[in-house]
Amino acid sequence: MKKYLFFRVLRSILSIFLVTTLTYIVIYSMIPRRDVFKSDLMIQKLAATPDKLTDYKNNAFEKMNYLDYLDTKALIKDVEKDNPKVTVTAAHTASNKAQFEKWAKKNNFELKRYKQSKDYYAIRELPLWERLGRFYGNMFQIDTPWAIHDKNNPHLARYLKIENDPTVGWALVGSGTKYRYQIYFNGSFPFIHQNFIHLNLGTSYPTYAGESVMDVIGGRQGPTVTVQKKFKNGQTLNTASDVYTRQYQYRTSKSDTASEQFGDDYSDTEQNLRDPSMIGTSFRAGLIALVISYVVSIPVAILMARKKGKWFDRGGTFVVTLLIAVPSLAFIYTFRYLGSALFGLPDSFPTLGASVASSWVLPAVILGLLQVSGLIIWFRRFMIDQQKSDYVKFAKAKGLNEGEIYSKHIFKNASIPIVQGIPGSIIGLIGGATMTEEVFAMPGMGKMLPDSIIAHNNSIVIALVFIFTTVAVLSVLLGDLLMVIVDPRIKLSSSDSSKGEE
Amino acid sequence: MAESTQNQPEILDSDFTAVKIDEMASEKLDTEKYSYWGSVGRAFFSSKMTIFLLFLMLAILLMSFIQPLFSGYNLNDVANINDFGARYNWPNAKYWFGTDGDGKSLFDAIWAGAKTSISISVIATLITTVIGVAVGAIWGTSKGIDRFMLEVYNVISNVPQLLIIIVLSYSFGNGFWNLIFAMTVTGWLGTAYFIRVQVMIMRDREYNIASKTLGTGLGRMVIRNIMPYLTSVIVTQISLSLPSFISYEVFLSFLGVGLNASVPSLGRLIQTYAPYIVSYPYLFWLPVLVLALIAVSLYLVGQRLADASDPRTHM
Repeated sequence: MKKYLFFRVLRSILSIFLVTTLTYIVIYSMIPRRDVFKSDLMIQKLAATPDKLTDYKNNAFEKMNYLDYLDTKALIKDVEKDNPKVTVTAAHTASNKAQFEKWAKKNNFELKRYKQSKDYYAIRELPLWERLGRFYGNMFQIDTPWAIHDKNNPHLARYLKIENDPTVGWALVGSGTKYRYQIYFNGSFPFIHQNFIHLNLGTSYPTYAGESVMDVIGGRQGPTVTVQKKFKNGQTLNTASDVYTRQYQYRTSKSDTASEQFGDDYSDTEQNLRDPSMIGTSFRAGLIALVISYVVSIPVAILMARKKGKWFDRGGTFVVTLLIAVPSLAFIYTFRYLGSALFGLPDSFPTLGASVASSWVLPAVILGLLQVSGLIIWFRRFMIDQQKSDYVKFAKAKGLNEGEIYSKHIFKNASIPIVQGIPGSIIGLIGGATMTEEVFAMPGMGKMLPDSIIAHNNSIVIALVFIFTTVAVLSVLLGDLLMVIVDPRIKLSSSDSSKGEE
Repeated sequence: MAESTQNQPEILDSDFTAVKIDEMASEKLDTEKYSYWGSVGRAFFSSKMTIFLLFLMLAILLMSFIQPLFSGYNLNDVANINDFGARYNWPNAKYWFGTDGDGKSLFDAIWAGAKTSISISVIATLITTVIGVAVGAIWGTSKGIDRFMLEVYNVISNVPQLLIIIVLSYSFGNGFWNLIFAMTVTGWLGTAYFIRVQVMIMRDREYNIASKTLGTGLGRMVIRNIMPYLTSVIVTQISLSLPSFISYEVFLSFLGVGLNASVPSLGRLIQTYAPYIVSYPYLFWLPVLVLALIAVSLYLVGQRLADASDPRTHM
């Protein structure tokens, strides 16, 4: 079992890796890179100054990992660093040019000149494999006490210790690390939080320009909220900054009031925002939808199986067939209309916002209902298959009544594939969420995918594919493991590879 | 033999008289005559509901492929844009489905859109089914291919299909054939896997072992012995994939990803008219209704055809 599990996890990781890599290659090799500027307003603003435009474009391409870009200043610095004996300047002299050319040739850079000023700059196209390497190489960022090296603060203490911090309570506190609180506890899910491993999926561009992709997807959204916090200097203040995210602030950009409040160099905080992150929004809606879809479909399927061939079963089959055939978009719009016309629920998420419960009702219910038809068909099938088995006949012969047979015998056996399917239906939820969130303008990952595609935000598209694939692959794995727990007769390890997947 | 015939009196042609062949007698069999497709047709047409659905489906198909030829609907045509009388007409005798803000007839728009949506779905289904069945048949019979294809399938099947289609149609750019390529490039894997399982179940049945013992080759076994059994399964698969491809096309056009801006499709209509859901509800709900009718009739007719093509229902 352990060996099977090990290889299964390994294969899952390989799956995620392959899908992400393929997506990366397809997106970066097929989409013309000039497309990213299609809806960028800066391009028109800068059109009058071609030098700045070149600079802007190349900086953007560098952020997106298309190329390495050195403007004149950086180029001079690099040339001088390479051979400290020579001095080069930005002046357009022959000797400078020779130096630049020599350096560019050595480092595989292409030497170019700005249109107006005729100054030199250098770019190097990154081959696809190198971009991929950088993407995976920088993916996990591990925080250590040796992470920060500040020239202006040579005596920065380096340690990790558990202490009762005045602002956040008991926590694993680091110094010399990027983040102050490595492990901390608070009231929000999942209650224990860590800061020592961070996922880095690149930089977002052109929407949310310059922000890290994980901040865009995983950071909280909405208006800022102030909370009361006790600070190290004894003051209790209302603050809008999220104290748990305290990061090292370099002395050059240090703010005196903030560092006085916290009493150390870790004064760079993020804002405390009201609404859940994109991941959080999708996760919440998905979880409610999952519960709804099972709460609705299991009783209906049981009733249909018990009344097999009667009007309830026939009517139910007809409705389910209709629901399967109707395109999801028509389904979503119809239920959205019904919900807002009959129950007065908001037909768009931002109308009342994430903090009002009624905003969540329609998206979550529709997301759940999208799955119901598929689930009912399967559950009905499982229940009916079980009806014919010997143990049911035996129970009948012993005089058990229908209700007892269904609740104690059939349901337990039919629930094995149901339990296995629960994590698997998350795959369906992801697909449904893309449409539902788009229709309801819900700020979740599902809406972000089409939005970032239309905005040509390649790094976010890849990050979302990565996240969705990871969730989907892990949920299939979890489904198989759950099945073993529910039914001890099933052995994953003895079965061949194909059976494990089914 | 030769000697004995010589001893007998010679038999001449004139000894015989021609008798007309009694066709009735020669064709008479003890068992009832069975024609597979005839039985399929009989089972299929036995239900009035099915005939109604079939007519509905044919009517929709004919409308969407013939009406656009006459209407000459063009998405970018703005001839009536300055005619205030032509704007936002509710459905009436002249404009059966009303008009939109540019004075364009919604009736023409819907059938032009339906043509695109149905074409995409039919072509994509055709491609995925043909490739899926061919690959599935090979996959189910060869162990080496099975091992390789299973790994491929495990990687792809874990990813939501909608995600793959969105990302691919984004990467390949907009266009009719690009969209079909994005839909089919991984879409056939599901069908192939499904057929593989069915082929594996049939492969080891007694009649196939017997056939193999008598020297039937692998190819002949798959094509002549196994495939006929899978007709109803394949038709079921087709009836599921037709509405699902329509659904994908509609959603992609709704996002503005799949087709070019000049190509009308039901998804694009729904997206364009979504803001009028309250002010001019007919503009939004009529395309949705037609979309639902297309998908439901295709699915139900397919399901009934699948039921009818299962020989067990012919008794």
